Amino acid sequence: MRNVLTIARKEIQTYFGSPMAYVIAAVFLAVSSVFFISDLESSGLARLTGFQVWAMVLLTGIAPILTMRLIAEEQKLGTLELLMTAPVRESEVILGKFLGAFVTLFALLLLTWFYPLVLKLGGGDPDFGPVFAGYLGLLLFGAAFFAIGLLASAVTANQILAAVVGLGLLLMLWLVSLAGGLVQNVEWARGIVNYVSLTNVYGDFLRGVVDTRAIVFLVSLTATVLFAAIRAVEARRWR
Amino acid sequence: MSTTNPPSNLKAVLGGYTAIAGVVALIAAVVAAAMFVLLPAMADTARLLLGVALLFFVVFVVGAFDEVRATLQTRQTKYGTNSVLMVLAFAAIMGVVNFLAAQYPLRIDLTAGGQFTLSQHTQSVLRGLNKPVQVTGFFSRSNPDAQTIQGQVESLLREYQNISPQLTYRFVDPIENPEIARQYGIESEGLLVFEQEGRRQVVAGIGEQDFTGGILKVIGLQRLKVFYLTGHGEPDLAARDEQGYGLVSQALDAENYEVQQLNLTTNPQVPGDAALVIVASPKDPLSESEVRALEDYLLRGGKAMFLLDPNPRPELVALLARWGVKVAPGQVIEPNASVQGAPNAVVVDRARYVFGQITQYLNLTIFPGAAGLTADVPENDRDHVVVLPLAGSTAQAFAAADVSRTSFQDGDVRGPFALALTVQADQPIGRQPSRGGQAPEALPTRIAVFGDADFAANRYFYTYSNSDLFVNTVNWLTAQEELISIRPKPPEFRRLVITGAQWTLITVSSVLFWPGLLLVAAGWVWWRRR
Repeated sequence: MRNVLTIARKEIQTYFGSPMAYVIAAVFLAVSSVFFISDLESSGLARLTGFQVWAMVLLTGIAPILTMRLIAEEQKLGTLELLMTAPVRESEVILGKFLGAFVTLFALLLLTWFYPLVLKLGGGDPDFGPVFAGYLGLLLFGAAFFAIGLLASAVTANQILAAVVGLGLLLMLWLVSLAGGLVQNVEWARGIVNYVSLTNVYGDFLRGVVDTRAIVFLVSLTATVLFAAIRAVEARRWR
Repeated sequence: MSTTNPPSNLKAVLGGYTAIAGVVALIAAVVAAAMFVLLPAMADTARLLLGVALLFFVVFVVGAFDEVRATLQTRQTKYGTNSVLMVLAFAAIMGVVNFLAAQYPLRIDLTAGGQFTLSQHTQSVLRGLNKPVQVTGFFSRSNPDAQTIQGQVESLLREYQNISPQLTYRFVDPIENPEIARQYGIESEGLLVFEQEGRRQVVAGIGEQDFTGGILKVIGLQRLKVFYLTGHGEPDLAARDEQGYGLVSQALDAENYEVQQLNLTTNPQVPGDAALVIVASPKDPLSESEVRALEDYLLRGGKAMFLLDPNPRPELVALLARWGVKVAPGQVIEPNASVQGAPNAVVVDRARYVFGQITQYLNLTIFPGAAGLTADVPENDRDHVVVLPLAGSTAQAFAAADVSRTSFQDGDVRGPFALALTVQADQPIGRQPSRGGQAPEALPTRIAVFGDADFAANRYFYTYSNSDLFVNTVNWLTAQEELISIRPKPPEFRRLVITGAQWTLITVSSVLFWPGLLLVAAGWVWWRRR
């Protein structure tokens, strides 16, 4: 456990130690503000939907970029082998790096709490139910997306390739949502597709509805992907 | 151990077309995703773009195939298969976990108004659905308000669908697809049509009560018949003028009742399939046989609504007296709870509703010129004749012949009165009930008496909660009570009503605050690293 925390701390320091990360965060927040404000204007309602919807799209793009270096870079620099010879288990490496990335995501999302607060201060009265639920959804989805990005980083040695593969995997997930509309008439497929369809699942969170099935789905997806990443790194050990 | 091979080769390739293909795929995919999510009207273009992205991705993979294959083959084959199998096994276990979770789902509604929590009644109606019900909502895409409402409608329908997959829905823009709107007879937007096996029900509201009501009506095989007494100068059901009852007719129709005229002079008997008889302020006398026909109907467990006006027909007063209702002469004067300048136009506020089941969700109602009603049931008959007020007056009310006064004089009748009340009975006063010791809800005869018929006239029907009181009472009389019991949860539209200064605060701070701070932080970190 201590190893996990050590590795996580190291990753967090790496993230927060890079000026680039702050610039990316600044851009993310600036763009998010635009979506936040534009939805306020067009709907006339006090809500966070503009930002939360956009944040999902952004997460899909950011996850591969933020996670691509996690394993792949270590491999390129040769530090991965160093890590492997230390009394550290592969699972601890993966979990530690995942935790580090997740904490960074959490920090970024925490910053966006600015929006509901400034909305309230500015005289609006948003329903905080959907706000909380939306953030919960973003956290769960973020975790799953970051896990996928981590997996992609673990199976390739090249960061760019890792990013592309990660993005590809995420897009396949989104494809299922897009395909959802086509499959509505097919009885057996409809249930499954609706269950895993990202737009369906996130839609519930956006409305303020927390469904245990969605939580189980996203957590189990994250767990499976992390498990796969651990296996992938383990296989490296035996090269 | 050999170091990984891809980097050096990929570096060479990176300068080539393959890398470009990869980058293009990335950009196209992100744009497609953004489009799909943010510009639903361009969904087709988004799908096309996604296809393009996948195409370029394939090109990238093909071009970098060797590198990709080598990369993927850094997995030792000996342990590779093993790993894959382990992952698959893990995934299968997760699949089972998900399956179990799906058997015992828990859905928590965090919205402030609990809009997505369905009542027990709705849930049982939905679980009982055994044939598909299709819902078509007509909302125009170009109208942002309509889109906001459509969002709420869709959210609620999703909850319905979550309980019963038999319910499916779609949205049609009546401006883009006028022929579909015409097919359904829809002339304005914001309406929904529920259909099952060719039967259709138009629903105008967007709350749970409206949707569940719509479902109930469309799966019902038979419309309940409401008979409206005519021939004595009653308000005209077809009339659209101020005193007419055209809106009553419409409302009953929307509640899926079949309204028919009842002429008791030609045939002094209420039809056997009558679910409800409405007698609305007859001006001309009712003959003995007509009164007897009504009485017979009530004696065999009939349901009736009487709408009176001040100083109603004496034969009606006598009939109602036999069922425990006393009508005071004159009009009710409310010094303190009436419309300004019209002390006989009584306003009933929430505090003075009594019969909770029918009135619990009502707001104000107005009775422009009402007779005062009181319960008058002898001690011995109280076990089989139960009179409950619906809407009451204040204690200062009194009934007078002259409406210009606002103070009590000798000869007036002191209040308080009921302006509307209900009677549940098994046999009228003086007769023995067929069965003893029944609960009021089990008593077969149901009567609702309103001291004013104008409250339901076109002029006042959609004022305050008048129509809701009328419709709820009808539904109670015909025992469609579950519908009344659904607490209305109006969709929450939290309008942003703020000053220009507040708007500026929100917008400027959102754009400048964190981005600004972060850029400063970036600079600081960079400077520290130098």
